[in-house]
Amino acid sequence: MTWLVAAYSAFFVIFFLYTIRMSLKQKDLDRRIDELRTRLSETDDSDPRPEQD
Amino acid sequence: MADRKLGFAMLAGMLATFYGAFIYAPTEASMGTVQRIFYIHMPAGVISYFAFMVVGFSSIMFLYNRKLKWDRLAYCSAEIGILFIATNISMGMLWAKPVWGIWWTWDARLTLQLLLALIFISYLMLGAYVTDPMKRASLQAAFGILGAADVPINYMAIRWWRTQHPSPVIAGGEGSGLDPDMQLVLFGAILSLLLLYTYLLRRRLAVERSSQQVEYFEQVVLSQ
Repeated sequence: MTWLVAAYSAFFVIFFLYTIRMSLKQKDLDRRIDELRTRLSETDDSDPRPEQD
Repeated sequence: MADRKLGFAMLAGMLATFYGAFIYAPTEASMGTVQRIFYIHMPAGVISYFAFMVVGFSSIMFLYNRKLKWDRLAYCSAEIGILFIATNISMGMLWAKPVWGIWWTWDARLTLQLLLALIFISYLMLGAYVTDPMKRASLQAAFGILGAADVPINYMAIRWWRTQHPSPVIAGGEGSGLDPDMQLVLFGAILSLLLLYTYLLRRRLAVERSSQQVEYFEQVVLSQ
């Protein structure tokens, strides 16, 4: 039974780590977007947005 | 906000699956406790099939209207599908060792499952080698459709070829079936994993959208 609980727990941990990795990446990207927006607003008053496909 | 609600629902579903698999479901008569791995093994396989069918559908939509949002959906679904199929295969191996005495055998279903995983790993790798977005998306779409076409063959494998993998317990014809309590836990686990897939897909799509936004802004900055 112990190894079975370990297997189930490993499953949860892997998916949890994947979620954390995505959260960290999202935070990093949001920070980068803010940085680039600031740089652009320093050179241009308009707020360019990417074209929607 | 929707993501938070979905996150809580997914977490509740996961805890319910844990409770169902270890406490609620009765112990199977011939295999004993080891059979409880089935409540993650099979749902993970079902969700991986679903994820790869989403890849196939999105790929067809991309080839039809050339909108990159379909390519994004296909790519993200493939990545999450790989996580689920890896879970399905590894849990199957953990079950096989005590029951069959071996970790792996080149049985029809197992081989096809491994092939399906390799097809979608190649699908993701393809994305890393082609830089032009439209060309990459078109190539991946063709590959994605090919991979999705493999799903029905995998599903039918244990019906067409009777090799070592157990015969289907759901929709397996005469003589198949599950105890009602086991069935409840199984369907609950499928639902929980579907929630998990939906949650991860939404998060992954948000990352992909932000990533494309960064690329766009970087190009604008460089062009100035």
